[in-house]
Amino acid sequence: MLFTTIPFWAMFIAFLLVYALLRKSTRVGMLLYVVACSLGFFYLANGWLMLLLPATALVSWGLTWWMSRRENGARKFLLFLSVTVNLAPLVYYKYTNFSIEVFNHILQTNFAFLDIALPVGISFYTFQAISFSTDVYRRNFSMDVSLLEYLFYISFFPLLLAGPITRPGDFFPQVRRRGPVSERLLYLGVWLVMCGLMKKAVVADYIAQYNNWIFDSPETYSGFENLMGVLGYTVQIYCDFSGYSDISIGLAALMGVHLKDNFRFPYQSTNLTEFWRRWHISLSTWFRDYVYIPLGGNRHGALRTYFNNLLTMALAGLWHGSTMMFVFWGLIHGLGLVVHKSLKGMLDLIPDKWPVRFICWLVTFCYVAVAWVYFRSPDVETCGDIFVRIATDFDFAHFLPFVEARPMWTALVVGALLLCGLRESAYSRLQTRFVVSPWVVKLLLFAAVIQLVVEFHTNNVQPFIYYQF
Amino acid sequence: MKQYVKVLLLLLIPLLLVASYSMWGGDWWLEKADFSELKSVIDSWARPGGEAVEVGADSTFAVVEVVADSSGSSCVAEEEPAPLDTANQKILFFGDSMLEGLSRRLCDYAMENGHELTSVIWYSSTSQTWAECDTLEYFIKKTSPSFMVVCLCSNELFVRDLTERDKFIGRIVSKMGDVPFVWISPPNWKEDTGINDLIIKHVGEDRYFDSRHLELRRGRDRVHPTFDAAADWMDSVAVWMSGDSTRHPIRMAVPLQQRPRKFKQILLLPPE
Repeated sequence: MLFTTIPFWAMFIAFLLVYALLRKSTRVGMLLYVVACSLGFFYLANGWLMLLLPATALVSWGLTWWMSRRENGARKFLLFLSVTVNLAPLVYYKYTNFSIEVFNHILQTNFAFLDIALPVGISFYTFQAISFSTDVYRRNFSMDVSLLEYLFYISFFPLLLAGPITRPGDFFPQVRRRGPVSERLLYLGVWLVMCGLMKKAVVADYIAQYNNWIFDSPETYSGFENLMGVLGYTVQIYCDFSGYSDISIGLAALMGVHLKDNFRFPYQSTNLTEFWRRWHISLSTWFRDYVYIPLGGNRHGALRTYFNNLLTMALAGLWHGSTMMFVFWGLIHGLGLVVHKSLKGMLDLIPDKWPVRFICWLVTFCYVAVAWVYFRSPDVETCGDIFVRIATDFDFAHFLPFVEARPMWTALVVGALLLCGLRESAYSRLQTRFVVSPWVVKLLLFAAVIQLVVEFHTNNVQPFIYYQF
Repeated sequence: MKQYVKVLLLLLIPLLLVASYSMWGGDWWLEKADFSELKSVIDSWARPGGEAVEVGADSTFAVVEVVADSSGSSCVAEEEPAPLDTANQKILFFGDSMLEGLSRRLCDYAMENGHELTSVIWYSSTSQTWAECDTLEYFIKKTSPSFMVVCLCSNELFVRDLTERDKFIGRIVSKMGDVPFVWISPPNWKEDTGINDLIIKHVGEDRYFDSRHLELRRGRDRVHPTFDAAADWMDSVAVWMSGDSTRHPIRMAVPLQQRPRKFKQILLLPPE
C-alpha cells in the first residue's frame, strides 16, 4: 500500500485517532497497538512473508540482550551471530539468484534460478537491526530495551518499507518520552507530508511516464530526447525518494517521533563527497559507520582509504539491487570519491569564487546524472544506447518541438531543478511560516496539495523506487 | 489531545472533500481518485449541445474536438497542427507490389533520420488478403513498430464489391490499433471505382496521402512506376509525412547522400 493513495490516508487518520487516545492513557497499549498495525501494514505489502520480521526480530533481540551481558570474546561472537542472523534472510532473498547468475556466468553452467520474491522493506529493517546490535556492542547505546519496544522499533511502519534507516539512539529516547506531542512537531509532520506528496505524486510520477519510454527503448528516440530522459530521471529519483522520505518522516512526526532529515538539497553539492553528505543521509552514514570505518576508514594511508571507499560504494551499490548495474553505479561513485579525495589538496588551492563553484557544481551534477543512467538502465546495452544516441544524434533544433509536445513535463523538471537550488535557510523559513500560520491557512494549503495530487494523478501509479531495494 | 483533534481535522476535511466530490460525480474511485469522467460531464455542461471530449494528458497528437451542433451534424471545431514527433521510429511498411520502388527510397529517408525500416511486400495482395489472415498481426508483434506506412489497394482500383472492401479496410485499420500510420493511396493509372474514397473514410484525410494526382513514369507493365518515379513519389510522401497536414508528423529530412541501403525486406508470394 502506497503512502500516496487515498485508502492509506483514510486508514492512517483512523489509526491516528486511536493512537492519540492510547498515547495519552497507556504506553504499553500504545506500543502493542502500533506493533499490531505495523505488522498488518507489512502483511499487506508482503503477505505471510511478514512472519519473517517478528521471527528475525525475536532472535536478534535475544542475541543482543545476551551480548549486552557478556564481555570480550563471547560479546564479539554474539555480535557476529546476531549480524549473521539478521543478514541471512536478506542474503537469501536478495542475492541467491544473483549468485547463481554470477556462478553460471563464470563457470558456464546452467543452474536454474529459484522462485524467490524479495520481501519489501527487508533491506531497511535488517540494517536497523544490525545498527541496534552494533551500537549495543560498541556501547554507543546503553538503554535496556524490552522486546515490545524492540519490535516497535523494527516494525515502525512509517520507516518499514524504505527507511530512513534510524539509529536506536535517535529513536528510543523519543519513544520513552512522556507527555503530549508538541503542536509544532505535529504541524512539521503535516508540512513534510505535503512536501512529500508534491514531490512524489505530482512531480516524480508525472515525469516518470516519459522517462520510462526513454529507458525502455532509447534507440527509438533522438539524442536530445535521450538527454532529456537522463535529466528527467535525475529529477525523478530525487523527487521520488526524498518525497517518500518526507512523507515517512512526516508520519513519524505525526506520531510524536522526530527523525533526522534524509536529504539536504543534494543537487546543490559542488563535489561528490558533499553529495553523499546530502543524499540518502541515513544510508550513507550507515555505510560510513558500519562498513567504511570498520574496514579502516582513512586511518591506514591513502591507498587503503581509496580501496575502502571503492569497496564501500560497491557494497552500497549491491545493497540497492542484485544486478551488476547497481555495482557499476556504486563503483562510479566510489571512483569519483577517490578522485575527489586524491585531488582535494590541489582543489583547495583554487580560490573559492562563484565561477569556480559553478563549474564544480556543473561537473558534480553531470557526473551524478551519468551515474543515474547505470542505476536506472536494465543492462549495459541500454546504457550504451543512451550515451551513443546523445553523442551521435543530438540536435538543438529538437528543443522547441520537444517543449511544444511536452510542456508540462518540461515545466515540472525545470521547476523542480529550480527548487533544488533553494537555500536551506529559505526552506527552513518557509517551513516555520507554515507551522506558525493560522489553522485555516494550513487547511487551505493542504487541500490545495490534495487537489494537485488528484489533478496530476496518473492511472498508472508508480511505486516508490526505493521499495524494490 | 486538543492538538491531535486539530491535526486530524486538517487531514480529514480535504479527504472528505475529495471523497464527496467523487461521489457527487457518480464515479466512486477511492483507490485511484480518477475524476476524468466527472471532468467530461462538466465539459459537456460547459458546452450546451456538445459532447464530451477526450483529451490526451501528454500526447504529441493534435487534439481534434468534434462538437455536435443542434442539428446533429458534426464539424471540426478546432484543429491545431500536430507537433513534429522527433523520436526515431521503428517503421513497418507493408502492402502490395508498389512497395518495391517505394521501400528503396523510404530506406534512404529512414537511414538519414535514424529510423529503422522493415518492409513487407506481399505481391498481388489486396485489402481482403491482409484483412482475412493474421500476417499483419504477426509482423506488428514481431517488429513492434512505432509508426506504420501502408500502400495497398492497387489491385482493387476497379472492384465492384465496395461494401465488402469497406469491411476489409476497416479491419486492417483496427489491426493497426493505436500505432500511428499513414496510408499511401495507389497510384491510379485510371479512375478507380471508389476504393480511394473508402480508404479516406476509414483513415481520414490527415492519414491519407493522395497519389491520384501524381504523374508517374510507368515501367513496362504500364502499372508500376519505375524506380526513379517511385523515388519521386516517395519524396512527395515524405514532405507530406513531416508536414502540418498529417496527424502524426515524423522526421523525414531529405537524404543528403546516397548510402548503401540497410533495411529488412520481407517478400511474400502472391496469395493463392
